[in-house]
Formats: sequence, structure tokens, C-alpha cells
Amino acid sequence: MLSHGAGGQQSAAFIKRIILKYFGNPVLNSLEDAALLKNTPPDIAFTTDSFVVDPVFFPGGNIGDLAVCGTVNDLAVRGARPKYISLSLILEEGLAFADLKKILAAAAARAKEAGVTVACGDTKVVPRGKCDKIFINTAGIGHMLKNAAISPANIRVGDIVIASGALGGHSLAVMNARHKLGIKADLKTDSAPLNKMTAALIEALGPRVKAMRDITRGGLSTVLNELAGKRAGFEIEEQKIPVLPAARATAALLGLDILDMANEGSIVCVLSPDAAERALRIMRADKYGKNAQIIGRAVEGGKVLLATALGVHRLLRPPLGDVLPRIC
Amino acid sequence: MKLPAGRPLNIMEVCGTHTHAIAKSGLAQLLKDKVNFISGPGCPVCVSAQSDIDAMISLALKPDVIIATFGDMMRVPGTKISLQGAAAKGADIRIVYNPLDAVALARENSGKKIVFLAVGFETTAPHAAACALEAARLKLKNFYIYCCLKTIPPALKIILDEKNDIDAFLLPGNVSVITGYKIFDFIARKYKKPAVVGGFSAAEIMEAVETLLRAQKPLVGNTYAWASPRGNIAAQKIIARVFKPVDGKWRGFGLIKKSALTFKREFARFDAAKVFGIKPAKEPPTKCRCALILKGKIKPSQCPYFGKACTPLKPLGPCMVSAEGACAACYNNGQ
Repeated sequence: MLSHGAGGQQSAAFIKRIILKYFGNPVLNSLEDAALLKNTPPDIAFTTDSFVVDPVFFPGGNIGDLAVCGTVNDLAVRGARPKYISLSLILEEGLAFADLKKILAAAAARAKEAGVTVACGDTKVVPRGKCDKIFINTAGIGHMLKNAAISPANIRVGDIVIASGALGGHSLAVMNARHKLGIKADLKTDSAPLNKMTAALIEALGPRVKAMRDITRGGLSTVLNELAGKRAGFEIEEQKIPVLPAARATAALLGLDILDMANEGSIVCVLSPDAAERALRIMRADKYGKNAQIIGRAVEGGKVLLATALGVHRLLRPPLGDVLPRIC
Repeated sequence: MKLPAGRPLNIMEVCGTHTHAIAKSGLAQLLKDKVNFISGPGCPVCVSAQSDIDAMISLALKPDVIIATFGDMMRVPGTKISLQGAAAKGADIRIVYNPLDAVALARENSGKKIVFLAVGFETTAPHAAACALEAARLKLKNFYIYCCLKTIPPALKIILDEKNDIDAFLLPGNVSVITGYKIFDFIARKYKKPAVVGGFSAAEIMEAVETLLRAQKPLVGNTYAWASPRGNIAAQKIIARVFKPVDGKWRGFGLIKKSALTFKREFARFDAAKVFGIKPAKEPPTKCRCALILKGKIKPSQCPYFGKACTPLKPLGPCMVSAEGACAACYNNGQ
């Protein structure tokens, strides 16, 4: 079913029951944003991703931006310096060349900005109707930064949680375009390569950076639940979470929760408490981290709790799957 | 109002959006010593009869049919599969937010039959009516509505006629904007309970609760700025133009007299149930305790299946997956 690829609980169950059954290996099983290949100096981070977004063009970017930024960010949050990516294109017969060029130009510009080499690729064209305009598959390889010791297993009670960007713009911009909702608001994707920001954090703070995740499918609620574990859960202050103002209003109108929505240029970062202020300064100095905020801390109990505006704690669960527009 | 001795005030919220706002904001927990919020039959997806849900899924599987639906319906379990499961079998299902987009679909796809799933209360009814009027104006021959529209007051009367512990009602602001809140007068007049129309933010809900607590006698009050006693006359007129009241089948309630809307003869050609020959079906047996939950007789957490045999991944009933369902609100916010 479509929702098996939509992030959230159904995706997680699908990955555990199906994907790991066939492909499970020590590298893949950790289900990190990038795989860590040992024995090759320096250690190499390796990731893959596929992009099937509908529509392929949306306010602030297109599928080309997403393909490169998404792959770069998966490497970046694992503590790697992205070096090479592959781009495989599956094109629908009849896709306008002008559109393809726009997409490739965006991908090339993002690769240049991120400092990655598109090392290999492939193109297939399928009959009309067999894919939706263009699908892109990527792989990415990065060199692990020397000081990087990124792993949720390092998180301890008392660690600080920072979110880097204003959430909500990407999902709502795409949803507005996909379902032709006609909402006139300043919504656009936040798609951006975040590897400079993450490298600066790791170079300055080393192992004090415990965990980083890009807040993509499934949103902040999913990412925090993935990071929570036996050692610690999180207590997040709802009012501290940076949210794009137009997204806040649009989500309220549609009855949707921004914490469940995908972003393409925001990360969540868990650090030692003594590194928090410096991390915040480093993130805010980056053009994609201006809205960075300390949003909470690691606490005992292994659960993710949200302190609402009323000061009450409630459980923050990951969404089931796709975030869908509602009745009323 | 006089507070009950030895227990908090039982307030039934009659709208699924209230249910979720109360759970998400933490209001239920904040006020738990004073107020016990009880969810009523306010989630339109949850009160849809199983036979209606199955009928909608069967329509989705017909050749040349495109279903236009609100997103909430996608995961609702049918007897065999959900709409999401139907989509996986090849059904063409489009999610719309504005029902008029379903009419646009019909214009753009003249070779297909477009069926809009009109699931909702008085808030959704004018949109569905507007779709029928627009389709008539455009002389569309390929646009249909599966009408599952219901009206709230008859269900509240059933709840109030049965034995209950409800002290007061938090009434839906959105319904009241359309119908006017005078339609709820019976709650104070006949059943001698106070009721207040409220908005949907935590602050608005608290304002409504405060008004209830201050009420000296049974009354139907309003704290929602957009609602008025008589409501939106233009919306009421288009509902009355297209639809007429009819006995309706509710999940958990059974047949409730004059609690649903159906097409007037002039618009019967848009009635998907008639056009596609959907026969009235008996409700299949279910383990889901929705009958008790929708009437506020038990809390979701008191259902033996809650969080065990019934989770959002494997729901026994719509209340666990609908965006407005009481069980979903409890499960997702950890109550």
C-alpha cells in the first residue's frame, strides 16, 4: 500500500517485517540515516534514497533539489562530509525536456553548494503512465569526520535537544500543490543542504554532538521517537519548537499537526548540556539555521513527552503514515 | 452550576475536533480534578454505519469510478479492506479538501464516474449541496454523491433519553455557525442541562467550560464569536434545496429517526447509492465497543481491545483511525 512508504508507524513496520527480512545485514540493521562502512580509512558513510514527490515542482524547489539535499543531509547528520552521490533517473515517456533541465539544474546547483560530486548515474525511460513524470534514485558516500561520534546510544539524561529550522513549510507547500487546496500563504519548501552546518558542529564539539537527524518523513514526532530508547526519552516544550508562521496558520486551518510533517532542510540535534549554547551559536550563524532553538532535553523513561502551552505533559507519538487533509 | 459531590463535572464534548483539542492541549489532564470530558458522537467518520463504509469501498472498486474523499476516510476499516486497501488494488481515489474539487474532477474526466463521499454533519452538508447544485448547473452526467450526512441533535436526544451521567455539554462551534445554536435549546428546555457552544483552541474551550461552570440554570450559551442563534441562513437554504431529512443508520446507535440527509427527488440523479444500486445491508457484527464509546458510556481506555487488539495500525473500528475519533485521541496522546 502507498502508506508503507509514507514514514511513521506503517513504514517502520514495513521496514522491519519486509525489508530487513530480505536485506538485513549488520550495516543496514542499525537503520541510521547513513550506513557506516568500517575498515576503510577514513570510515565511509553510505546512503541511498528515492524521490517520487508529486508534484515534481512546488514553491521553493523541485524534485532535483530534494534528491541532492536529501542524500547530502542523510550523510551529514550521520557525521560525514558528503563526497559523492549517484543520480539515477526514471523518466516517464513524454516528460518535457524543459522540465527535466530545470530539475537537473536544481540538482547540479545543490550539489555545487554542498560540495559533492555526482559520481555516477543512470537514466531509464518508461512508457507513459508507468511512472509519474520523474523518479530519482540516489546513493551517497561521505567521509566520516574525525571527531564524529554520532549515535543515539550516546544520548544521556540531561542532554539538550535543538531543532535547526522553522518547521512545516515543505509539507504544506507540497500538499497545497498536490491536492490543489488553493491556500494563499507564504509556504515553500525548506529544502537545503545542511552539511556545512553539521560539519561545523562536529568540528567544534566532537563527541559532545550525540545524535542528529534530518526531520523528514514522519516529522519531528517520528524523529524524536526514533532517537528515544532505553537510555533516555525526551521532554519537548511545544512553544519552543520553531515553526514557520504561515505553516502554523495553514496547519490549524487543515486540522493537521506540524510535528508529523516532513521537512527537507531542518535537523534535530542532541548534545551534551555544556555544548548547547555553542551549538546554538554555530547553527544560527549558518544561513539554514537562523531559527535554531533549544526545544527540550533528554529525560528518564524512554518516552517522548510534549509539554503543551498549558504546561501539561502528553505523549508525542509518531504519525501512522501520510498526513491527510481532514473533514472539518 | 452546582458541582456534583464527590466527582468532577461530566461534560460531553459533541465534536471530534474538540475531543482532539482537549487531548492535544492537555486540557483533560489539567482540569481532571474539576472536569471529566466525555466524548460524544461528534466524529462523522466514527458514526458512519459499517454497511455505508463497505458500500463506499465497493464503489471505489467499480471500473471507471474515481472516488473523491476527505483524507479521514482512507484508513477507516471496512469489513474486508479500507479505502487505502482498495487503492492498493487499483481503485482511483483522490483526496479533496474542498468538495467542489470533486465537481472539477468530473469536468476533467468526462469518461469516468466521479463519486464524492459526503461524510459529515451540518458543517459538511452545505458543501455537498453546493456540489450537487454546481453539477446540475454544469449539466454533468458523471458526478455522484454517496450521501452519509447526519444531523447532531437526534443523536443527542437518544443519549439524553437513555440513562446517563452527563452534567453539561460543550457544543460544536462549527455546526452552530451553520445551524444556529437554537437547535440545541432542547438540551436546556427538556433535559434541564446547561450547554455552551465553544471554539476549538484550548483557550476557547476553557472559556466555554468557565461559562458552563458559572451557569446558574440550564441554558444554551455561546462563546464562539462566529456562531449565532439562527446560523447561516444561506447555507441552510442550500441544504434544504437539495436534501431532506430521513431516518439514518448510525454506527453504535442503530437507526435514528430523521437524523440523516438524503436527496430530494429533483437531485436524486446524483445519489450514488441509487445510481449504482447499493442495497441496504445489515450491520455486520463487530467486536468494537463503539456503541458504548460514542454514547459516552465508557472511555476508550475502558474498552478491552484499546491499545491491544485495536491500535491505529490494526483498528477494529473507525474511532481508532479517524482524525477526530475518540480512541485515536486517547491513543495518540497517551491517555
